[in-house]
Amino acid sequence: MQVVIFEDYLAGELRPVTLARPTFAISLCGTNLYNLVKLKGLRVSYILRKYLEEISIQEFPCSKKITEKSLLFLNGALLPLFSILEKILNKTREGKPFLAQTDSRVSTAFFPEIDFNLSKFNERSITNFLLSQDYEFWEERFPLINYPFEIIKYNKDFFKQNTERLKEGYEEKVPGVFTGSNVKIHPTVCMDTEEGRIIIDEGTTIGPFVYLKGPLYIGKNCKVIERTSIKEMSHIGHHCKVGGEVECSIIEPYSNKQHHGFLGHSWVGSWVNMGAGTSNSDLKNTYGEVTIEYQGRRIPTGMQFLGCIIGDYSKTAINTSIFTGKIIGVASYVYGFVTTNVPSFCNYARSFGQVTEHYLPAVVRTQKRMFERRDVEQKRVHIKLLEDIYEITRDERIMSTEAFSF
Amino acid sequence: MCGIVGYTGLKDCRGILLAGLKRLEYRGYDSWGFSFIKDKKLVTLKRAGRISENEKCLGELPENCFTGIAHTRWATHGSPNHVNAHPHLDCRLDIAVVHNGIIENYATLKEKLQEEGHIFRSETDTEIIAHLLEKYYQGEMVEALKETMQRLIGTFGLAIICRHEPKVLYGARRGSPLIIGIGEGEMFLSSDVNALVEHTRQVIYLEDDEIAILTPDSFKIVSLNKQILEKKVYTVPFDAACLEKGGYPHFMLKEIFEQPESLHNAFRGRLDYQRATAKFGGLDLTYSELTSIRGIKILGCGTSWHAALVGKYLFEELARIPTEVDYASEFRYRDPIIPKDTLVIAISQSGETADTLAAVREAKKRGTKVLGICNVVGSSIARECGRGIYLHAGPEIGVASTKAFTSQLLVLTMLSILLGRMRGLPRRDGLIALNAIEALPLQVEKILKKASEIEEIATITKNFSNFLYVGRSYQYPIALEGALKLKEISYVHAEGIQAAELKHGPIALIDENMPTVVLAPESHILDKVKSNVAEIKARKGKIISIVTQGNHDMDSLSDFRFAIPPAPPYLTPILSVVPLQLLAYYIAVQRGCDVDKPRNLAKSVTVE
Repeated sequence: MQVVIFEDYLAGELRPVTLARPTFAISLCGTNLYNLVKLKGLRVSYILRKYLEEISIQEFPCSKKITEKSLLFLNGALLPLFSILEKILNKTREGKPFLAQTDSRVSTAFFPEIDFNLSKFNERSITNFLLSQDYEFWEERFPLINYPFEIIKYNKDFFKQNTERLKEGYEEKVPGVFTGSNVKIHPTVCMDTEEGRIIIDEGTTIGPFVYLKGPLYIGKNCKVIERTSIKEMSHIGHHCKVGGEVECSIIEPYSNKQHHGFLGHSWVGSWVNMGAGTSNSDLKNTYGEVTIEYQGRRIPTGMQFLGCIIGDYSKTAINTSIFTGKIIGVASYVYGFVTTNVPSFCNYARSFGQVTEHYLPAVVRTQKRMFERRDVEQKRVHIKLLEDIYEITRDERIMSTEAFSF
Repeated sequence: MCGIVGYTGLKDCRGILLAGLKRLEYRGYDSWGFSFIKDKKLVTLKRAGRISENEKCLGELPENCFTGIAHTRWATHGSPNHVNAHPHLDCRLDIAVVHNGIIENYATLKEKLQEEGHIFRSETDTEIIAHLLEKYYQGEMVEALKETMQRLIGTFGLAIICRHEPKVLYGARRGSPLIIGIGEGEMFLSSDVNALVEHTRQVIYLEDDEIAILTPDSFKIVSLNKQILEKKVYTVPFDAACLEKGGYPHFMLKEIFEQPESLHNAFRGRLDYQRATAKFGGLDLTYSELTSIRGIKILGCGTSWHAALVGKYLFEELARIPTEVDYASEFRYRDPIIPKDTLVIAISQSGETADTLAAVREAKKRGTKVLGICNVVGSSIARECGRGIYLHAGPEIGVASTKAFTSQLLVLTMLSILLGRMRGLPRRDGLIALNAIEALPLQVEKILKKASEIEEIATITKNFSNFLYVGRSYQYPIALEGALKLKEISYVHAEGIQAAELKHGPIALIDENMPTVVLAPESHILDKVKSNVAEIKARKGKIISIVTQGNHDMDSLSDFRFAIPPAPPYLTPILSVVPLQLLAYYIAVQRGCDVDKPRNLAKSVTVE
């Protein structure tokens, strides 16, 4: 059986989270969908938005051809949970074609005997192709990520359950603390595993006087600086530098949150740098439900605690304060108070009376400098990605008036 | 939905083409035309109206023509008259073309050709094909066809003759059907086997992007990108008897089963994924006119009025525009109040409904913009409104409207998405709607595959003399429509009721002899519907429920359950009405009623 992870017609609507990454690469609960499927030893192919294909193949190797007749389709927006994937895999053992839907999206489908040509389909056409097949309707509604804030919600809900299943390659040196190879933990580190396990992946260094509270996942080659406190339900991607206070948040790979400042109930993209003193609010003064502004409407999130969402390549200046439930786009530089959503590619200093477009060549230059510090070579695909996102998000900047929305 | 016939052989082709056209008349009948090659010249005859009413004109055609094409038209672009009728010719009168389908990019192509000096005679999309062929024809028709086809976006089945090649008949297709008939010393082309079976049973089905070159004793098929193709020759099995109805016993059933196609035609070329919205060619309203609409009034009669009621829910939910629905016959005699910035929408399948037409005139007299939603191109209402949206559902012959109704619902949905996206409907919601619209044809197909389940329900319930249909929200108008379908063709008394209204009176009707059809697909209001239905169940009424696949809320209450595929609530009316159409049909047939011509009714109501 071969697995086809597909993006559907709503993949691009998870802006800014999915502007620079496929939906299956969203980190959640200690893993992502791609890694989870790989962990199960399955062969993976995928259907992506065209502009992401070239860059994704480097980070997420896949078979470009379908060689098998028996295919399992997984929506890239499916939560990367062991429980879900195992339920689906068990169902495939019955050998009969099935399809499950969540609202109008196909979450998964299985066909034991199908001729399928990967190159014929894209994110727009795949859903209706699957629906047009003969199958048994599986009355299972798997959760799919529909809105950016749901990443934070689902991460919190399923973190403990999912990280308890992450076993392979870790050693339990201290009860409840699972480490990969070459992990350095300073003897003064305080680790609280009362409410869940702490996983620290290979090559990571934890500095002096750090407080870690499980359940918690810290990826490979991270650096946690002295006196940091990283608390429950946090997922730190590989090659990140973390300081200050982090709680119930996701930081995607290669980002820096080096200094003091609070990050709570938030999602931070890759290649983000947060200046010293940057803090976000995750609770309203009224203790009421947080609403977010999404594509021109206010959407109730059902959450009392919700921080911010910061798109890839964005930077925050020192002492930036981000208000509850605000969304910052890709490659935007923010200063001062962030009281509204911020479109991609913006210089946002609204509290000083300035919001301007951030020119693409400047973003490309910054990307190069940042890559060099992490020994990553800036290639054509990286620049191309920025160019494509710049074009895709053009409407955000045209449409933005006083109240930003995208 | 047009009909094409072509012939090349040794017989005089006039009679053959005429007989073929008559067989195809069910596909469209607002105008017709012939072209023949006679003495290396093209002779063309075109008329508006039904061919059976105009047979005498054929005397005008010369005798002994051996290659020709003919067409019966159902207008899509340009009103039905003899100028817009096919065949269409190029500037030099060398090439004649008949076409079935819709060319979506014809406006841009036409503009370009006009700049190059081509003179157009008609308003049709088809004529551009004749001029494109003229442009690329340099003695090789196949090459000219390839060049032309690469530039066309849309659907087409084509038959072509050229006066320089008097014995050759060309065919090409994309999207629209085209069939080659192989005779002895003669070859045929048609959009439907109906027109061929009198002469031959040996046929080849042309696939998309294939070109056929036919001479009296040979055929060759090439594809747009590859070389000569080997094609399988099929033998047509069935008799010529029930051909008109395409193998179905009644037009109504045929039209119910045509809905996947008619829905597809209604949204073809109208979905704009880039902007996550819908687009229409004939709205004739500027962006600022569309954004300044503050209220909508929808007018209609009968089934169209039910579509209008769904429209109210659509416009209010998706576009947040206050909407009123009126019977056209009430509106015109009521000295109606039409506030400023109100858009009036008139819905009529035939475009000839007398009450609706009068209401349109009344609204226009008061200076209001009126938009027509019609199926028949160039009909009175379409002309009177001057702006509108066509359904492209093809001719509807069964008196009980089926496919036109679902197309009306779809067009209203697309219009509300267009207006909604201008008023803050999130892009994401627009995309969900677009994708769900594209899924409709296959979803309706899945429902139709289960028609036998409905037939069984009909067998059990056919002897009841009363029916109730209940629904709420989007399903309330569908309850009314389901009841109307049953009334008009099976003469069984039926009432459509808003489910919550039951307890205000109608529930008194319920006993074990009153079956109730419950429209209970998934929605925010399903729980409420459920408790309404529980009250019926408590009074021993039989429950036939239409539910969403995978939802079992109604199971314990239902005697019969029919599941439709999941869709957003605003699109479920298009799905949930299909089983009701089938139920009415099967009950009527089993009660021995004449489904296509119910007593006391006419297809289009042209009297007040």
